[in-house]
Amino acid sequence: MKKLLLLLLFLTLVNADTLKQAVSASQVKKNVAKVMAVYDWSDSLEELQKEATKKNKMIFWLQVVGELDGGL
Amino acid sequence: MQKHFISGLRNIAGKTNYAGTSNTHLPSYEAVTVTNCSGHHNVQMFFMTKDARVVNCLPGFWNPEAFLSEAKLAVSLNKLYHNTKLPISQRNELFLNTHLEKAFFSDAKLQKQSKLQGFDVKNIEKRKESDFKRVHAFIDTGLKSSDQVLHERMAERPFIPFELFDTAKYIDMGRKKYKYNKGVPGHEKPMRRNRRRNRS
Repeated sequence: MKKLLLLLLFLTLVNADTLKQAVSASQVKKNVAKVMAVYDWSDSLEELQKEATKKNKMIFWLQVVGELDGGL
Repeated sequence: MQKHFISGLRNIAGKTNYAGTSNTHLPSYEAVTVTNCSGHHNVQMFFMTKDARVVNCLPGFWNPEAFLSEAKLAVSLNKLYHNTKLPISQRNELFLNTHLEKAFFSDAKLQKQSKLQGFDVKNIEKRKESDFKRVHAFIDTGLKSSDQVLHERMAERPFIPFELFDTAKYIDMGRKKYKYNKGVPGHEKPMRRNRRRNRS
């Protein structure tokens, strides 16, 4: 069976053009670090709502089994 | 994404009745392509208005281009939600139409990217009823792709607040759990079939 691709998501958030096929382990590591650095991941939906209202932005809420930078 | 969204993250392991189980995929592992919606119980991506009403939801992993197309759709639905010139009933109707159009006009490339995985196909086919089953004049003509089904499901859920969104039902696209022979490199567990072979 195929391996799950965690980094499709990460690369999507960074740059859609970066992903065509499989991604090497070193590239995956870099992408994860970038996504963790570029995005401010809040764990409180309540806080996000307040911030979204203040900044007049939408909310992107990601639910995963595991941790983005600790393994899924 | 940064222009339109602020982001939040929740680890659902053991916290929801719909969370799947995951093998170990560390950030230091190689990654490969899978079809859209694979891992539907392990990943859910919600696009919401600022007051946390769901305008789109993608279960599982997604192809980057398809993901961006879905994010753009969410942005347009957000504009619709805030368009107070239209009565709520009309906004709901446009929400429904937008998602149904997206399902109906899904192109061949996207459908190919969004095919269910084999074990999910088997699971769905065993069911007496499923919205994945495409039936014309009482004749079964196969299964819809996951992108089509998710938009049909979203069409039934116009601007639903996140706390009322029935995620378990929405992301049901086959099996909740499955086994495969991967894990920490060098420590893969042998499949039952192989274990028997190794014993004999």
